[in-house]
Amino acid sequence: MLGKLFKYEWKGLRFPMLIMLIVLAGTTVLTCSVIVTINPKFDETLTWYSVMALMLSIFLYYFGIIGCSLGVMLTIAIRFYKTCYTDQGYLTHTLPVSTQKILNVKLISSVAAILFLILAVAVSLLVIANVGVNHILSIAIAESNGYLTDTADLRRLFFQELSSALSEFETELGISLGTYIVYLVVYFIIAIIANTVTILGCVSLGQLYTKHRIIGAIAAYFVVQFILKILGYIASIPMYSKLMRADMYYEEYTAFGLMSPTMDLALFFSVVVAVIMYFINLHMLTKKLNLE
Amino acid sequence: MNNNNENPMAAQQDNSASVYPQQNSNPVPLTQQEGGSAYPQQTVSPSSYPQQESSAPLYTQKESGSAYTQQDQMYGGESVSAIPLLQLNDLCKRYPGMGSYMSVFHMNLIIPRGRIIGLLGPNGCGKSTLIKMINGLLTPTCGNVLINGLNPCAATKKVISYLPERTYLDNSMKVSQMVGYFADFYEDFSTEKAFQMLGALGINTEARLKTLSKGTKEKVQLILVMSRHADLYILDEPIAGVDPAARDYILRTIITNYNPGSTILLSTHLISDIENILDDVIFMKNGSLMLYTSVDAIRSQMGKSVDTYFREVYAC
Amino acid sequence: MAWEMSSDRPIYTQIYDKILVRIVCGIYRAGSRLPSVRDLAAEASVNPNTMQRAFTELERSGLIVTLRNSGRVVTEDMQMIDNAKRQLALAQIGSFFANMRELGYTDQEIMALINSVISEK
Repeated sequence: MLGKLFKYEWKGLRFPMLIMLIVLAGTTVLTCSVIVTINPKFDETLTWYSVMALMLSIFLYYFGIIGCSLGVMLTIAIRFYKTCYTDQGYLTHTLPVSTQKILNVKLISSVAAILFLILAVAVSLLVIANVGVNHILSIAIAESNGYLTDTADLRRLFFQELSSALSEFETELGISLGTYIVYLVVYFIIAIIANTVTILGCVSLGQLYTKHRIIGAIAAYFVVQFILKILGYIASIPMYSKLMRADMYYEEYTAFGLMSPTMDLALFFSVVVAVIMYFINLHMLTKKLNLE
Repeated sequence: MNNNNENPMAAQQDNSASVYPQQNSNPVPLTQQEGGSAYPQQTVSPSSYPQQESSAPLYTQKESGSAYTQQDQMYGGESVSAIPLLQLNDLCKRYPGMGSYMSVFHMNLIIPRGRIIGLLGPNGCGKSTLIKMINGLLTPTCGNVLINGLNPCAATKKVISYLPERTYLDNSMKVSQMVGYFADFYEDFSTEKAFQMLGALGINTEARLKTLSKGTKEKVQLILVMSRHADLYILDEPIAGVDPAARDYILRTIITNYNPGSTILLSTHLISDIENILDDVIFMKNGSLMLYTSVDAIRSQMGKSVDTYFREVYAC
Repeated sequence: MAWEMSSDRPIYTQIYDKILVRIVCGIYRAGSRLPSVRDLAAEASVNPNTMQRAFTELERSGLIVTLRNSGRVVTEDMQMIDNAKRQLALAQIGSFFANMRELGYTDQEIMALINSVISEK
């Protein structure tokens, strides 16, 4: 039964995700092609045009990413609303499956969709970076008039610089880079899950306002965001207090040592809100369900 | 014009006799909650069900209302169950915005297997609310609903096949995909039956649902629901939006799908069309059970069709 | 097509009458198998339980017999069928006469009318 629920969630999400992938791919290709056309041999006007084109394409790329992330959130919220709270709810809620299973499957699918999009963005960034670096290297080779014959030396140089910069970063940070990356990944995933539950919770809260359920959902979203912001400020108190103490007493601090209590606290608050939202979802889908 | 006081059948079931449900049509009846005496004593107990002249009494241990079980060889031996198919115990539902008016008001009912039952009543009398509670789409304010002895849950949804009044299918899917959806989730769904019925009505199974007319969508929904082999079929206005020719087909489908282990609950306004296929009728008004009797009883005791009787009872 | 039913009598009695007529006029021949309850109910657009009840009544009156292996068949007893036919005929005549008398005709006038209608044919 669970597998079938997943199958149909995927079927429902497939189309919007495809659209977003296309948009992302489009902006990536555009940016790459603009990068590739840059040529230092251009005269002034052409250089101006090409810099403008580059800026425009990066702008579009940036907006593409923003649009896609908004798009994913909206897709998830709209699908949840449509399948659980509109006429389609008659189909969903009479399936021989417990409501909690339905909710869990929708949550997992939504998180998966978001992670998928993040992966796609990461891939596109890598592609752009790769194209960019290759292009710069090829220009350097061309400009060097035969001094540089291949890119191997340059790459070695590049990576040497990169690793020394990274180790400096590490000492500033206070913990090893590996640990930090793991920390960030785990943090990120928990934050995404919490965020997804919260979005769906806002949709469910909107059901309380029976006359205008969609407006209710949007209003709930703003209210929750507001609450989260306030909690975020509360969470940053330890960081600021440490900073002030450090200034006054010349206390040593590391970047990670400063950030981590705040980040941990902020995550904790998000998780608490998410747990509350999960139970709100469950409550609205079972006890308070009122399809028109 | 108030027939209820003289109505022999209502008196049969209702020991506080002519007490018409206190809950009247304006939404703030005050007498509802005042002590026990204000509650309409409309309990349907098995013994008060009008006895039909022949055939097996309805509420025996057998639980089957039909005379099929022994005589008709086609149906073989039906397994006997003492748990009623559907039981309402003091069921109430009050919607938040409606003050103290209860959309379903202390309903008590036992529905056996193997009957085709009409759920009749004017708009707003609580039929949809009742149906939603049976399906687990609404939580009762008090009392409970038991299907095969269980509260509404995944197990009861497995044995109930529900046709809502609305078009509730996913418009982006094709008809054949929708058939696949039902086949995936419902073990008792028969794909061949569904395609056969779709073909008989000339519905293109490769069409996307959003391209179909409203009437065709309703036919598709009905076919999907009737292709399941459920214990309880609940059809909310199955023929209202459909042309008369298809109506006959739909009624015949309901008849031919009938089996002695299943009950069909039909909620509708079009009484004269379906009267001939009903075994029993349930009349509701203002959230209360007014009458639960058989079509034959109405015809033989009142000498009228159910349709005519309904018009009298609910005359404005 | 659904069978025509009037709304003031129980349906099963009306079905009983209709099947009786079919037996009497030979549509369901003596000894032949009857359609199944379900098929006939679908043809008539009535509840199968109601159809079953009519069958039960027909069995009770002996017009239908349930054989162990071949299901329900019309009785072979021609005497019974003829009796039933006669009963139906008498009922028709009875109501015909009642209607004619209501119009004001005497019995002799009725007979004379009948004869003139027959001779015209």
